[in-house]
Amino acid sequence: MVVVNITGALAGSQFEPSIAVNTLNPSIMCVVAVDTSTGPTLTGFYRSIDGGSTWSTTVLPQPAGYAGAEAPTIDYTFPNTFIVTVHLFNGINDGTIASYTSFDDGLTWQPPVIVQAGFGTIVHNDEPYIAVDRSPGSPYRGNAYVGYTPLATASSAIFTQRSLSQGITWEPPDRQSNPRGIHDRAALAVGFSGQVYAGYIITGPASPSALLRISYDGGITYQPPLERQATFISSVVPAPSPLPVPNYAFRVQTNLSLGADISNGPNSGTVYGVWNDARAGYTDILFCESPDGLLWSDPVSITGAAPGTQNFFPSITVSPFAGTIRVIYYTNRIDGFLLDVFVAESFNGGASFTNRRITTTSFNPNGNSPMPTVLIGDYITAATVSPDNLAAVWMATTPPTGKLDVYFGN
Amino acid sequence: MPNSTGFIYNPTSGETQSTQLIVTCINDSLNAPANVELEVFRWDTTQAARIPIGHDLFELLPQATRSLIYPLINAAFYEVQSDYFSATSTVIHVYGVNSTGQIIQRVLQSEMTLIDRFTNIP
Repeated sequence: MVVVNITGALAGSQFEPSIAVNTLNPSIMCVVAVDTSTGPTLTGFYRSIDGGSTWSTTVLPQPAGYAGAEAPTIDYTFPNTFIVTVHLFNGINDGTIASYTSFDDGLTWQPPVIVQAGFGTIVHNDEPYIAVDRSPGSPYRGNAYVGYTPLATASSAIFTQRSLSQGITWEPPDRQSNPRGIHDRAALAVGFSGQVYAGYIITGPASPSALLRISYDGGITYQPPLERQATFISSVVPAPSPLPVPNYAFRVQTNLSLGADISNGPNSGTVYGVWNDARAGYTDILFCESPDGLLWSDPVSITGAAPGTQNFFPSITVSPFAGTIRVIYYTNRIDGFLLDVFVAESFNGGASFTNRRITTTSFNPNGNSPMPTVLIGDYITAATVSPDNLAAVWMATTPPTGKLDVYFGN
Repeated sequence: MPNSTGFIYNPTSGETQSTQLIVTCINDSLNAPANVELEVFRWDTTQAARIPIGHDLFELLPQATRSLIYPLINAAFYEVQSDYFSATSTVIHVYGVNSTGQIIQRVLQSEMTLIDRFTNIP
């Protein structure tokens, strides 16, 4: 078990990390995060070629016309392709989704591509999430899918777009959600036969719930069709934001994270969903599973954490070789105030989970700030290292730096 | 998406009163098991409340059949919602039967209406 501070030598803050690992060569790992080391808020890119022991750091080139970038996510497909999607912005204006593609394991990058442009405050596309099809059972392998959230002042929707060229060009969007709901980040997963599971949580204005639509044709059409309601995963009780702990001021979104078992194991084809949910009177990680994405089990807690603790920001990964399910999340279960990252692991298709600590040191979410901080990012990310190990990235403010840093661990 | 029989009228007395529902399920797939979900509701003559009288979820193996019986008591109206998952080639029919076993009402799957979601049963 190793924990590495990737960004400790950098100035500024680094948070909201996302990681992808080369399935064929698990020594190669690529991480993106929000990075202010050069001044403006840009897309930090960190690369390891030794399985996470050491990392190089840089920032991706910012497209002209946009002051900042944030909320990056990254995914991998065969043989050496990594694709990044980010949210570009000018303050509260011009929220735009862009992508970057590397065909050489993150060594060099193609110029950024605008996936969907925003205009002023009226069209603001935010919170991208990328998933690339790398299933052995899929005829659509290599297809890339991005989910994002056009945000308006009082309502938002979930859109998806697909790329048949690994991010060099993108097709027009599909709407997946209620056009006037309240949504944050979409959750995408690609199933064994190339099914695209486009999930999301609608937190308002009424009946918060986790929902999804499924594409069986590589992202051309989604079922149920838009004139029908989306498939129901579970009701949801959103986490309070901020969490009701003294001196917590950071926001907590309630987002879905989806995983699909594309292994040859006994649970191949199964789809899993996790989110942070406050129905028990405290925020916990709930888990649902489905054999087909249509019929979902009742949600269960997977943390084993004591009532009254706070557990949030879950990210799921499913081993493509073994079907092992791993869900990382932040928790204050050790200290009550300081945060740690734990992983809930299941080696039996979700029938049972065991939890273990990944962080070696608990950290103060407020870091060096004299006042409670309002943002620690909105997510952390888990990926699988072939054949069956965890690669997790998270933000922590562990001394001696005390600043927002991106950590890698397993 | 589930199928619904719709809101079926049932006389409250006489020979044409259904006293039980028979729901028949067949999985004609040669190799894929189906997960079948059924929800059955009744209403009294006031139609004031939708009362669940059955909620079943079971696996139907390839080529297997299963029939389920739901008693209709104080049921001036009823509805059956049905769906099957993880499979194709599954057919679910609904029969309303009177006290002597005569078929009073028959709703074939092909006659049912697709609805977006099952009714939430707390």
